[in-house]
Amino acid sequence: MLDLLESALSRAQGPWLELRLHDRRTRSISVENGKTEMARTVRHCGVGVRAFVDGAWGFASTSVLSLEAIERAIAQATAAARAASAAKKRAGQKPADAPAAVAWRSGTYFSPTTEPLSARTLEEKIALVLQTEAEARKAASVITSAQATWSELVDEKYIATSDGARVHLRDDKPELRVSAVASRDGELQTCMEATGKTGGFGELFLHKTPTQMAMKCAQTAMDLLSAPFVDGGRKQVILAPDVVGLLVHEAIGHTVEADFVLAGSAAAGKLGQQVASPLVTLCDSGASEYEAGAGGIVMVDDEGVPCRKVTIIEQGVLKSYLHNRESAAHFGVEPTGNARAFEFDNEPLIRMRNTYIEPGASSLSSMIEGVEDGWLLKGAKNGQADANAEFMFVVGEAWPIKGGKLGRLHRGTTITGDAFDVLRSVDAVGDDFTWDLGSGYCGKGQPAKVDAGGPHLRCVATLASGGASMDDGE
Amino acid sequence: MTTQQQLTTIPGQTSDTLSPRAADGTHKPGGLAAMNLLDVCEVLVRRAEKRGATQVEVYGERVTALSSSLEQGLLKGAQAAEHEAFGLRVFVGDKVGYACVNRRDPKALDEAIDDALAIARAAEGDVGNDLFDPLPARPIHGLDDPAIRDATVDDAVALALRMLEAAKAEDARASVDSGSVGLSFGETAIASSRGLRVVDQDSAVSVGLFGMAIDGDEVSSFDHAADAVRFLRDVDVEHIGREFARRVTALLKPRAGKAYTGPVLFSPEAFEEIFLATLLSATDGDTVLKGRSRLQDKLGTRIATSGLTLVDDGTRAGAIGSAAFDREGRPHRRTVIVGDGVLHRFLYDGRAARRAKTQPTGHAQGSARSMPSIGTTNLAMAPGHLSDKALFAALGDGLYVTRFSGNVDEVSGDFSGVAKGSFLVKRGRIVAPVKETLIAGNVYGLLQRIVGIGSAVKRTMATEAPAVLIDGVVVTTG
Repeated sequence: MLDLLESALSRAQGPWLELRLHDRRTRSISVENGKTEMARTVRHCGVGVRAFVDGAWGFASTSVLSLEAIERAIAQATAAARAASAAKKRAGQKPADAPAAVAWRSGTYFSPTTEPLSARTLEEKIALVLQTEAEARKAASVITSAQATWSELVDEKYIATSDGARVHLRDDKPELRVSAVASRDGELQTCMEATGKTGGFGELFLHKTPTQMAMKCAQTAMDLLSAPFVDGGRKQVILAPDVVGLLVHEAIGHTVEADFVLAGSAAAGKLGQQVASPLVTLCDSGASEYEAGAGGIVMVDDEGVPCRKVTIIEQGVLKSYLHNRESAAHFGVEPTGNARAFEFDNEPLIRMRNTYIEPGASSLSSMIEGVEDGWLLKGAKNGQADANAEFMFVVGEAWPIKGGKLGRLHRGTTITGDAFDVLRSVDAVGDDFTWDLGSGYCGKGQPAKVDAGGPHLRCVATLASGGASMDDGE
Repeated sequence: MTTQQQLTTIPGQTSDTLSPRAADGTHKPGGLAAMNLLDVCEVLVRRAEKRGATQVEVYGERVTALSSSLEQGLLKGAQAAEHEAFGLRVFVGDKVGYACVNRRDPKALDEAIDDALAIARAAEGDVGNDLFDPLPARPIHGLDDPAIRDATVDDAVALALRMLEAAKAEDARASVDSGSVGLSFGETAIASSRGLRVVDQDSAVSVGLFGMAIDGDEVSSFDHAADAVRFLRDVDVEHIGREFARRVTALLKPRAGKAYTGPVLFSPEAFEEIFLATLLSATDGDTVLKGRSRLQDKLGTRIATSGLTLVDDGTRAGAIGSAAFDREGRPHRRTVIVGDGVLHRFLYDGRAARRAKTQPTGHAQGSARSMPSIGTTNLAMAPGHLSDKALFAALGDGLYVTRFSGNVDEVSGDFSGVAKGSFLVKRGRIVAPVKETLIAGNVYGLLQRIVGIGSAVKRTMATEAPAVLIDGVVVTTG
């Protein structure tokens, strides 16, 4: 396939070009209450073409894998770039920076895995989902409904650019989610357990077996039925690794993506400044540091750039942003391998990969003992970043800590704060490490598979108080 | 208006083979590549039947789009895209499998059929896995703009620049992080082994700006402005630019909010995001059947304060959510979901209807990538009687929420999150934007505590709603 892209490149004259052939096979199987609700395969295959002409970008794509079709897409992308360039000139806008030079490492890159997903049959995967759902549903009589979903992305990519990239990539990303609904006296509570990794079954079930996932979500949904609401406000909190993952991804990671920095994010102009506690070292890596199988493994990015580990914050000092080739040229640094496109018909954007805080020296028990009045927060759900560094994220479980002792489960809540204030408030970093944000997607105009995690972390944040119940209005 | 609908039997020119040569060995000029979308769907139906499917439905979609993108306050570039995909729902008895493929080549299409059949054979059977006989489609006017078919990439670029300039002219502190203008026209076709054979065309213009305000060292919260319409002449990019600039600059200089439990005024967008979306999830017939809906035993009973009326209508001429037929080829219709606070009906696609032993309501939705699911078309909440001034006066001292960044548990209805783009109101007047202010409550409880509905309705994409004042919301601050 690289030959096909090279032929198209050799016949095109003039503009800088990037060709990316991406063949994606997605499979998902969803079972609910013992029934196969959805089982499907999706083949999404084609070539995306980016052209850079006189300070503007053009993009086009085709799902037809012939030389003629790719040449037509090249012509469309080039014409689009020319139209944009002419309009920029008429509007008096400065040209975009040309892509920075790259030390290419041509070759074939297969993401590490214990076994390829193709080693497991369709029947095996369907049986796994049926069994996991049944285990959650049958865990207790108050469980009225359960759901389990398998999904996998199997990718093969070829990238060639007119300035030298020649790369072939293969990557498998599986995911299993199981959720249960518990019901009593008209009250419904739900809990979900999920794992998403790069690799095979070995990576996916590294920490919990499917049975353990099913039991955990059923038990938590049941416990939430009688769980009180959180009494919110500004509190000392211990964040579990999945919530640390949300914090570093949402609250910090997005503000250091160089495109957000250029638009004026809260991290703009802060390189070299102390932005966090000296206990905090925060990184983003295309590899799976500390533990195998991180869900955001990327060996070479979608501009063909080999992925580098980026130390974003080192002992509290902001050291680096995340770059693609264009932003690297603008800032006068080397590209970091953070340009990612979800599918062939998406343009690469600056995205995170695996983002984490490096482990420290504190045990979890000593961190809990040091809290007079606070919360242990687990079960990361969704989160959002903001330009002004104010973040929010949702946690499914809140455990009160009074006088250094852990209390009973409370309902989930929302946490907010200024990201850098929260990182400055960190007074203990755990000695453990887990990747725990690999299921689901990060959204930024297009989805991306990412992961995040770290050790337990103790800091200060604002929690929402619980809400009124349905009965309040009746 | 180029809508063409056929519910007749299959015309003789279609082929039942995926190779450029027909079954009788005669050469078909161009083969699959030259066929229209509906005929390819029909060929796939016949092909899957030959390979062992007892019923088949094939959904084809094709979109041609031109767009222009903005980044960091500048024109970034332009894009041209052509997309085509076929979604195959293949039944073997009461079992179903699904496959989607974005190419027309015979090998890829055969592979998709075999994938779907393999899934069907391995899956569990269910009473819901059965197609319905087709109903006559109803053409909808005003969904297809010839001017968009004739547009060039220069048109998209010019619109994007005009939108950007309008934002800058409104307030130089407005900073566009990203934005886009997209012009697209598409075709949808469905064929099934029950004799369904429908095709339709439509067009869309979608525009949007996303970013913040920057004033010296101060950076505001993010906000956005966006719209989607069917006709090029109806898009007002200057209005979107100005609205974006006004929204983000209003968020500068936030101050701490005030903690209380009491009335909160929700903008149409915030009310839709927290309350209407949750309500719709609970009226989804599939959710009801699975025991995940708080409203499952509430048909015909009061679920909200009187005055709340919610209607879905996919037959409105020219509306962005309208179409001649739904994802399963059934005509849309006007459906009263909630009437004056009383729950009137649940929404069904074919599978949920089979399971519930009722008829589909024309609410199947989705793309070729997935099996049909249940969703609304053009959703409208009826206006109330209070002017904006009267709503703010009724709030008195409290919080006005225009955006929500948090989580709503669709099962329990519990929500909590940050009140983004929200304002402190004193004596009925906006005083300042707030920061680190959280709101929480339960959707179902609070729908019974509506104390005022605005008389002005705002359309956001395919949803229309007024502002709503609700008592009993918990407000927390840092």
